[in-house]
Amino acid sequence: MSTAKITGIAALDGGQRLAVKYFAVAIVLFGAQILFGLLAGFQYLSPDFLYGVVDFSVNRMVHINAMIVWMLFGFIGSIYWLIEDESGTEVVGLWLGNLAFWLFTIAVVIVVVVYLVIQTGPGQIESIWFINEGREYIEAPRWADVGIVVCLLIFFYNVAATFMKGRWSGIAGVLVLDLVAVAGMYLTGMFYSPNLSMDQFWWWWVIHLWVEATWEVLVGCIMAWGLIKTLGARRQIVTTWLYIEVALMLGSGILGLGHHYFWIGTPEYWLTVGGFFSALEPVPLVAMVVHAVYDSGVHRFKSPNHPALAWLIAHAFGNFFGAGVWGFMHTLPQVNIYTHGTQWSASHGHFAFFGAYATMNIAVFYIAAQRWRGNVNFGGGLVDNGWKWKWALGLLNGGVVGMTMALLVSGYDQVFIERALEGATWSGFFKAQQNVWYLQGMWWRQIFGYMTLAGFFLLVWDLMTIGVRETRPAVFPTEVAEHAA
Amino acid sequence: MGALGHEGLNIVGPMGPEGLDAFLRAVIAGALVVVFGAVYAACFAFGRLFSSLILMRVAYGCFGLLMVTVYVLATSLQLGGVWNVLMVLMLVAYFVAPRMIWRLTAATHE
Amino acid sequence: MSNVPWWASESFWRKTAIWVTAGMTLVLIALTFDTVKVITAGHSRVPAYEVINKRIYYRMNTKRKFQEPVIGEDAPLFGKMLSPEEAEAMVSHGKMTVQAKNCGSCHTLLGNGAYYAPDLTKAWLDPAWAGESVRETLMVQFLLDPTTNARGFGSTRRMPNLHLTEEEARAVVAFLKWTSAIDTTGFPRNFTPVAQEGDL
Repeated sequence: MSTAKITGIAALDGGQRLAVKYFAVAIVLFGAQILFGLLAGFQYLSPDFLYGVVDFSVNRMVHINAMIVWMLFGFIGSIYWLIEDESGTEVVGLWLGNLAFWLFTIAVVIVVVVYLVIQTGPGQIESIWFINEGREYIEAPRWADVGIVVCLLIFFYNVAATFMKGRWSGIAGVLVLDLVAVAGMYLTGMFYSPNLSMDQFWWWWVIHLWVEATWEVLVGCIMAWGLIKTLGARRQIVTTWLYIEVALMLGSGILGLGHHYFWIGTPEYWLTVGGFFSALEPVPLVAMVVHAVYDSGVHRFKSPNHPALAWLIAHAFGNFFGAGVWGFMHTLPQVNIYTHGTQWSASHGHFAFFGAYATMNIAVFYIAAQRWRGNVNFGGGLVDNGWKWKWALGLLNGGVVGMTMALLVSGYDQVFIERALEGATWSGFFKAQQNVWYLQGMWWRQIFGYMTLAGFFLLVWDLMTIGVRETRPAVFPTEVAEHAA
Repeated sequence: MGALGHEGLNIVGPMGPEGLDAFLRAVIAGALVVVFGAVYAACFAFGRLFSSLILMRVAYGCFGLLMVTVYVLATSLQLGGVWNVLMVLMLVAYFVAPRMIWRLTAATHE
Repeated sequence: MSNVPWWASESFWRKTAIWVTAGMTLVLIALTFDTVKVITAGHSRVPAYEVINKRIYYRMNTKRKFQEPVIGEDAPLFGKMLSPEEAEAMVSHGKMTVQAKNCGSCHTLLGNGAYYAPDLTKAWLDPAWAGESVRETLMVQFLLDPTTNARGFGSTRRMPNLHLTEEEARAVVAFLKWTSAIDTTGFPRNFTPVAQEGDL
């Protein structure tokens, strides 16, 4: 469809103009995530580094909060990216979407500044409202929680109203229902209880049901649209498979929540429920291999966007290993009682979050970059042979996999020394922390962290330059298929 | 005692260092369960795609290895009662799921 | 497209997705009702707040095959018996302090949090505090000045001074005493508690 090469903002529709703002902030936060992760990681090796100035607790909080927010920004951006195309009409409340974007962004800046400067408050409810809530991943103070829900509701309104005005589709239906859950689940994390068990019970509703249910479905919707647009897959097939995926994912994932209810004071039937669904959770991932093989054999896909396709493949592998293999390795309660609360969880966390979500967002960044550059060819024969995206892909994936392996060594050392030999006491904890294997793991984690950072810089450089000097238009297989259907 | 039956939470035999070997066996087996499950699925799918008898045999070989790893997992963790039922169920699911997905894929792509 | 069998059709899977999601959600809601009842403070698995007036033992249950907290005789925290309301207020102040000081960004509680510092679930029962008779005093001292009173067991890792007031420090100790009485189904596995003076 690209007759003349139109680039930059002019090449985008309204939703996409908003989307690139979200992407820009997402990338900045991705950088912050890596930076603060490196600071926190370095403090394992040199505990006096920034001690009493920016303590581990602060660095770690910014590290994981930046991750949650950049992924959310990436998802919201991705959906604004596809919505006008998918609905066949303009975003209904674009100005409202812009307002929500600025509110959200300014709120994030204020929250991070308060994290870094004020850090902690007295043990009163005001601290939880204005400084930090002190609950992992959702440390954002309560005022920001309210803001996040308002922004998510605006986003929901925009998505639902746009589809209602324009064209409704299977993807749209799943997306709209899922967004109700995305906003709704967040509410379960917004109350205070002195009862730690009650606190963690509902906290997991936000963390698990967001991450392992609603986010997965969001990614499924984005992927479905991506398959139709970039590979020319037939809409009816993609929609059917989106439904199949939702059934399998939520069928095993909702009660998979049980594997977080083993040790927090909750009744013992959760061991069975959690163990059962954990054992079955990887089966859909494994079964999807069959579908991928079938597709690769039956269709001859030619993609004009190699980096996006490569990141989608990284997503498939990352999800399989990070969530599937690394998940099942320690979700049976008989194993988890040893590994829970050690670097084992950190190992799984790094691999699974990156594999399932970071990869997907990066793929969409490349889809966006292509249009921004005027729909030029991102396929074979790029001007510089595409070395930047290839190296960024290698360094980022290699870095994260390396960190995962290193943390696994440290985690195993903890199980061995702290849990099994030393009786899970404080002295046992510190004995494990000083063990040579544990420390080696931490050193390697740090080195692979720098590798990840290098990959990040290269990724940003590549996104800013890829296809600038390219003149060949991209040939999308999509138009043919879409109009035939 | 609920779902755990009379076995209690029987974790790698005796508590403490004696159980470590079994623990290590269990986590490696746990990881390999998913890996062999995927390799079986992939070989099965390629076998069907190319109508290759060799690949199908490799697939069933992988499933054999999967059965071995599940056995190692169950014995290392000294699983009893309902947990062994789960292991069998898991094997059935790993065996059947790729076949069902193949049929479903072929049917939806008609 | 007409030769797609019913079990592979779009509408069949749309309905299946809806029914599966709804079904699983209903099961989750049913289990949630039961669990919330059971984990309410004072019910079977999570202690009432006035447990801070009692001695807490940690003993092997041979039937369950793991250790569990056992509530013993009177042992008032800081020598003062509290009414249920006073006890709840104190534990709650401690919990609020734990959140406001962001303890979970270095420590784990019930195994959830960060892995830079030891798990706090059984802090009250940990042998780190020399003995039962001195631990509450030592814990308060530590919380008020963790830099000087560092307990790194040879590691150079130290807790930063988070400027707790004495009242907050005592409340945190109350919260941790209460936490140690939660039935965690044997987590952390193989925990060795402080020598329990006068225990069987």
